[in-house]
Amino acid sequence: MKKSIISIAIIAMFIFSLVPLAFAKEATEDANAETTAAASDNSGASANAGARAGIKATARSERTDDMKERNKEKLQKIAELDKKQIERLSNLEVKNVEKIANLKKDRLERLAKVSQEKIERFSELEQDKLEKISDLNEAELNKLGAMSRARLKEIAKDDVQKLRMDLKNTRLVKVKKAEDLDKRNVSDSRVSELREKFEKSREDFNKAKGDVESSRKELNDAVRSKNENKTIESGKKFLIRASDALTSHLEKLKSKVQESKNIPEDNVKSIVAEIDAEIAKINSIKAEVQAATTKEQLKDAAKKLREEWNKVKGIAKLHAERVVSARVEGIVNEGLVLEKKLDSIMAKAKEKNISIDVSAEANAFSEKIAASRNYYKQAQAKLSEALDLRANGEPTESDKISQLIKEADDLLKQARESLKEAHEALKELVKKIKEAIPDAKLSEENEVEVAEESNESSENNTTQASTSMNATASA
Amino acid sequence: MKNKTALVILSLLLISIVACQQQKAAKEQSAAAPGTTGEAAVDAVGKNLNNVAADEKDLSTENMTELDAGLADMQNI
Repeated sequence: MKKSIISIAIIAMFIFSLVPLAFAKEATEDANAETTAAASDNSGASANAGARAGIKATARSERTDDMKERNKEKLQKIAELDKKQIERLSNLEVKNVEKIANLKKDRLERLAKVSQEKIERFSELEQDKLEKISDLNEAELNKLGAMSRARLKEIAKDDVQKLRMDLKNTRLVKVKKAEDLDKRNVSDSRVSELREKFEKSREDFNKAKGDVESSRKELNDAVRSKNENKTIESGKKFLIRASDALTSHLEKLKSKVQESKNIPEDNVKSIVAEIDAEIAKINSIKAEVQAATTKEQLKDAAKKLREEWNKVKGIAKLHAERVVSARVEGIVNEGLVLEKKLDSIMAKAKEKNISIDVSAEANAFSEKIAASRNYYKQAQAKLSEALDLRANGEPTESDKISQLIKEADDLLKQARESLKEAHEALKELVKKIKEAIPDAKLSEENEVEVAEESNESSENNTTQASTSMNATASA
Repeated sequence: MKNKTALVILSLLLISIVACQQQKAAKEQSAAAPGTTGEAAVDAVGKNLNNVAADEKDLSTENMTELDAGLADMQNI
């Protein structure tokens, strides 16, 4: 009897354990149906869930139709707009249609010529900014509409003349991926080759660095024991290891510069030439060390190596910042392209009546990318200033140039911090989109339009400075 | 007696199956590695940010104090 009760209790526990699972499954099906039924009728969800989702989708569709009708009524007042233009404008949010409808006839006509996606972007602006931008011509409006949300808000604050000037220096680029915005093309095989070279240089550097430490101890022991032959021997060993550490560090830097896709080709060439010249100088000092037979000869070579090292430190810091800056630029470009791809996914969702409320996350992402862009542009301006000073004969290790490099370093750190925050916002954004549209794919190589602004302080404009800097260095 | 034992074994077997399925479902739920979204373009941003930090460290001259000090020592041999 007792055993039967135990058996029944176990079976009862088992049955109860199934109950929450059943609810959970039903809830999941319901949620899936809600998000996918509107997009596709073959969701495969249960009939009931499908029916419920269908009703919700219909209700959403009816709400949208109502909104469109009300918008159309408002816009019908402007008789000059053709049907197509009214259709395009009537898809906007009601509050934004109010702003558009308040525009003067000619302004409204200009605005109505750009694409639906761009009109939506413009309509989010405040009334005064909307008035201002609707004074622009169609081409200018198209460029402006291709900018990121945050950049559009920022640039719309300027007066029309400044706005026009900025747009003159902006071009529309159609890209499939962020790499299409790179300043130069480096093939995958070349990147692999350079990474292998870098790894080899890193190993050489770490070994030489370790040897520098041990040979310095040997040198100090020899000096303390006042053994001249041992001092010369360990001094030579130390200087050879030190030369190896310096050349392998420069080789590491060279590989990273050559791998950088956002340092223009001419600049890469001049940096590589400068690094090679420094490596040659260090190797020449190393040869002097190997040939030295007296303490005086060694001391003389050590002095030269020390001077060279102080110079190399400045050069290495400057070019390392250029590598970091180029990397940051590449990531900012990834952000700009991703924003456009997200916009395109959301536009498609809207067409299918799937509502996703991600405007807060999308704005946060766009603002962080724009902030990062501003920081790295400022950093590039500092680096350009340093390069200009060098071109005018200022030594790389001077306080002025060191200060500029430090400032660029701080700005690049802030740029990276903004990128980290942008990445967090992006993850949240993608999570929400995926919940609403499970088959949404951001990594697909569909074409998007990006506004590329030319910048006076970018690496593009440092070519001349770098070249003349090299001429100064050679001289 | 045998029937009851068989019933208990069967019940335990069923509970084990259910437990395994729940475990599997939990694993599937947390299949994406922590910090990743499963969306290559998004995860690439995080990866590239880490690469910048690594590059910065690799190209720094700050960790070469031994070399500085050794070259200074050489002046006094």
